[in-house]
Amino acid sequence: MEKNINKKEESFKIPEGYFNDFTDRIMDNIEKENKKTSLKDIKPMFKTVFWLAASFVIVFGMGKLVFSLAVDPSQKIQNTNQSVYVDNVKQTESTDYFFDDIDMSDEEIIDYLSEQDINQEKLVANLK
Amino acid sequence: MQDIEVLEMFNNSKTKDKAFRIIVDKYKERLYWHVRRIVVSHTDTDDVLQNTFIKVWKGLNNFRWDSELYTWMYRIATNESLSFLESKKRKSFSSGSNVEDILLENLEADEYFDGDEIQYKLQQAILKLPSKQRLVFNMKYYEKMKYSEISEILETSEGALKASYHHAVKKVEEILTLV
Repeated sequence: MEKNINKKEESFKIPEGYFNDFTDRIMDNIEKENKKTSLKDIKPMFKTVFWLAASFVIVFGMGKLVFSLAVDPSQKIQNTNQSVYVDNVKQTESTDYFFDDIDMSDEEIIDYLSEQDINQEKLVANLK
Repeated sequence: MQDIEVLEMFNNSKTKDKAFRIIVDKYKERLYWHVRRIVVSHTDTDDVLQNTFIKVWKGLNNFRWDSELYTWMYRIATNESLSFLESKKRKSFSSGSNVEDILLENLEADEYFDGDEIQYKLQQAILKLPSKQRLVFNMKYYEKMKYSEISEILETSEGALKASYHHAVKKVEEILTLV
């Protein structure tokens, strides 16, 4: 039987020159495979960065929301009053600034105006 | 050049490609015939052999001399060949084909099979063996490997291999007698 089998081995053929460029083809395929592998390595990295960024935005947003809900509402009102107060102070200061140069009492001003020849008709005409 | 020296070259990035070329040149024909006897068709053998060498390239950095280099490469080639046949079987599942039918079809369709009728019948008999027996038969007769080497590649005891081989020879003889 061994004799038959040895004969049989010769019945399988290989295309002529098959092994001549075999090593080159393998090296080409390995190069392609390496490129594929490096791309595969990069893709998960991008994914990780994306998910890290998305997680950060979500956590930051949630944190901000929780913080705003946790602040005492009276503090908010106090803050609002403070700002109104500041506005009033500014207005007062600005009003005082206009009257600083006029050294007259209210009675003197009324007297001054009554001495002037100003009647109701004149005032209305001036308003027009 | 000894395999151990080639592996030292492979572990140096400057000589890596050159070392791998040496390995491919040294083992391509032996591995080709090993795969060809399992998958039969030349075209399929070419695919399997390409995949085998790509796996060797990827795994060579982690090779630790637990076995000889060629034993390790034979094991990869064997596993690749058997996986290939399994995947072919799954693809032709709808037609109800088994591995033996697929291989016989490959033999009939292979333009690179050039045997006479007796050789064809002999090959048919070999293809009718269970896959493990067929592997042992091919490795012992065609490749003239020692049981100790086959044992390392197939990770089976030498006693079991001798029994497999004995059964295989008997079956092939019986089939040929019937023809």
